[in-house]
Amino acid sequence: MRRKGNPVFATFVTRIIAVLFLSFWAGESLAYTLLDGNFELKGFIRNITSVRTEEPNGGLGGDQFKKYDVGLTRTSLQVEGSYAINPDFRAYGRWRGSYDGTFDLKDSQTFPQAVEDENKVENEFRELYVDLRKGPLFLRLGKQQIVWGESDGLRLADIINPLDLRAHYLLESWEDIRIGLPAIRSIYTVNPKLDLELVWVPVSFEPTKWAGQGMYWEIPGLGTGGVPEEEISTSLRNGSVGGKVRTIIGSGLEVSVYDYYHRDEMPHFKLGPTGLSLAHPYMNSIGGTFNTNVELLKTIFRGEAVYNIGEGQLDFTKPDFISKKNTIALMLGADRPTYLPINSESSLLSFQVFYKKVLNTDETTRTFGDPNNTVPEMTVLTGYFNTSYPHMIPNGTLTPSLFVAYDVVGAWWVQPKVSVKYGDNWTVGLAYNGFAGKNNTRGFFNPVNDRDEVYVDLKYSFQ
Amino acid sequence: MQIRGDKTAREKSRNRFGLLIAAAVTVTFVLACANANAGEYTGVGPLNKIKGPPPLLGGAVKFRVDKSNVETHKDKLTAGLYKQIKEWDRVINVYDTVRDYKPPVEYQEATEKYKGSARINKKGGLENYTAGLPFPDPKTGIEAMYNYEYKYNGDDFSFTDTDFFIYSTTGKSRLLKGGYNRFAYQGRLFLDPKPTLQTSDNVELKEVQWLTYPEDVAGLALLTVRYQDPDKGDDGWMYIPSIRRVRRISVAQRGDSFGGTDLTWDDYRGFSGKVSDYTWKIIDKKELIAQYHAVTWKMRHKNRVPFSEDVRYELRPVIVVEGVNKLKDYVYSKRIIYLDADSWYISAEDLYDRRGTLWKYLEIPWSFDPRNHNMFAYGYCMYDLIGKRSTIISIREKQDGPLQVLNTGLKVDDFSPSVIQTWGR
Repeated sequence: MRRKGNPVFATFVTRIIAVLFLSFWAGESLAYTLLDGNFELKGFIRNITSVRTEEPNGGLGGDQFKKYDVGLTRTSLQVEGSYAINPDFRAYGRWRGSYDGTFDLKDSQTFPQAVEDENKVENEFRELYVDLRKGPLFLRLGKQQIVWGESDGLRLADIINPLDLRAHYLLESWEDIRIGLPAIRSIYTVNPKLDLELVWVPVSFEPTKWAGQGMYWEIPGLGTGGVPEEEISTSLRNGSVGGKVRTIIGSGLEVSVYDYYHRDEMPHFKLGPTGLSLAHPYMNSIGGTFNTNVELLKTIFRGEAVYNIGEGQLDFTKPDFISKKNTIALMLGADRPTYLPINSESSLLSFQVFYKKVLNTDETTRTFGDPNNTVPEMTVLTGYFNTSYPHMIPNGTLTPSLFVAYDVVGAWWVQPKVSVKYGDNWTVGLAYNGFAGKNNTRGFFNPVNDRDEVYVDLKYSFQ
Repeated sequence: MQIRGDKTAREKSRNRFGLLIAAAVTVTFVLACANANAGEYTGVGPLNKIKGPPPLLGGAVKFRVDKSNVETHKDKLTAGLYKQIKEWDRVINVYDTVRDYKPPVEYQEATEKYKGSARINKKGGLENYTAGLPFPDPKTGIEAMYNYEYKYNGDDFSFTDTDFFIYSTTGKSRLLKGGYNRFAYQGRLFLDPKPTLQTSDNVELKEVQWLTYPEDVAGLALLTVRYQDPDKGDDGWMYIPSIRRVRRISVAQRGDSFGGTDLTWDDYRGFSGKVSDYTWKIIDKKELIAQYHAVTWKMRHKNRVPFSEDVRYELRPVIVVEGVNKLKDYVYSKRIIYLDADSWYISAEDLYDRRGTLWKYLEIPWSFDPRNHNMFAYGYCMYDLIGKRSTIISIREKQDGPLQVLNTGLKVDDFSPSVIQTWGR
């Protein structure tokens, strides 16, 4: 039995229509600038609709969605504004409202009410901050995203902001699923080759968000309706802090080293006085990155390494099920732009190897999210191809790409995609996400091995 | 004995106090910054207090070139302009020639002082250059191109508020907006350190190109570091807002389209590649019908070309240089560059595809600004003669400030990967 419409939905749709009307009425180049160009408003309206292309094979969530069911149909309105008070003082905000129609397409018994309340409608400022400059010092204060590292597709040094995996797992641009945190970010430029960075997230901790019970991307036990999250208060004691030094050595080797003391955004089952919960113990991540251009090979090489002190692992023999171990993780990547006889633009070939090892495991240590896994190592290989045809379509650019990720235990993810940017405003994307693996919770691909989908991404930008 | 509730209250109190201190510090800092930067930003250079574009040059049309008489004038047209007049029905208005270009006295004096000292090494690099025009009487193509590289362009140079109109084959256009900053490490005559900012890795210059529109590319910024060593390619870092980080890029990508326009990154400003990456030769010295001076600052355009009455052509002395990139798979098989013999700026350019077919034609409407000795470009026009489309770049009019500025005192620290990251979201 479908749910009836509700006032929130009606209001949301009305707003979308109003924005669309204004967008078209304003003409070809819609520009909202005020105050002598110091204030700018821009954004987009977007719909992502996905359809499942494989029957569920049982056991790990998402089974309520059969082959050809719509797994996601979400319409979003994002508006961002920036106001430059003067060249050294700028305010910026990015708001997003979304409506997920998937909840209207499914039977009312599919999702607990709490899951629907949490996910159906989104209405939040994703970022809201001010930028200040004083000579070589830059400060960004407020809710923001902070990205460190050199990796694509997986994260080693990109550890400050958690991700929102509820609606579409990790299949969207991370800018759109990274959860903004209130933070103080300062960068001091000593000279063009050396800068120092401090990051302090004073009072807030947010874990990575997982799809709730009944949702397409559900991982059993996680998300609303699963094991509850441990309550972590808003307090200076629950903040995170870290720093990074970046330098360029000689004429081209860029390196950085960092240390970040933080709670682990990934969940760890914890047995406490009140039962099972998802905990996020503190850990210290000490790492470094590099990138360099090797002209002889016409290739950019980049890499990361991190040593995590006290990363939680599952161990049922421990009183609280958590055993703190040290881990190391490495990434080595290579980007090779090359001209192929398929167009006049360079095509990008990119490869990465990720490796992670849990050190000093015991026989009872369980690793990488799988209560049955004792193997302390994980290796993932990724490959990416991208090219563009700026003029194949009159007034448009066609961009095909292919991304493949392979976990050496036999799980993988492949994403062929084609997008078309037409005119100033329209972007259409068509993509397929295919997964393969075993029915267990090890890594990121095994748990979703039967959740293949095809999706369309339609976007209208305005500025 | 501690009471649990009291301890919690004390913690809350400490937290609130800490937040209060943080807020007070922040507000104080904000006020200090706001006051320090109140008022107009004018930089520190001596030649920067210029507002608005140069004065227009009047005059009457001397003769027109169109399809009916283009064969008569063929030897004074570039191959690309000739083809456009024949196949695109362009009409060009030719005016009297006015040779008014004059670099600043300091540049002329440096040219005379260091005359004969600059030389080309075996690898195509420039050695022993200090300041001024390196080769007042160039004998080779590479000498002519180093004159282009080191023409008078200020110790730093900046333009903002630039519109790129990208015309498709159907005549519809879409828009890109952006800006550009450049910092010279050599040949510095006005701002300290003079004449050279010496670095251990012998940087020649740094430049940043950025986009502000449309929404999906707004915030994109490319930092290029060019070295004097001909064996050392450019280093590039690009801030990509959608991934929120700076990505190292390869110089091999400089042959790619700039923002989906008909220009490549190397075509920016006429030619912004590395001189030593090419083999050059002078193929002619002649008079050319080329755009020079302006009849209006609001160059209108429609259906891929500017309005004839909005563009002024003159008969200009040029040096014609052919350049072939040393990369075998480079996007162009050759460039034919027409260098203005007075200023060493690029008047026009013919670009050939990998099969050797004439592919694109670039023309730049320059106008000399005697107030700051700047060669002011009020637009760039790149025409794809095979695809029958174009990109027309115009400088947006600003009432209260200069459109292109030299010697404003840009800081070298602003040309770093972490700084370009802070410009965006």
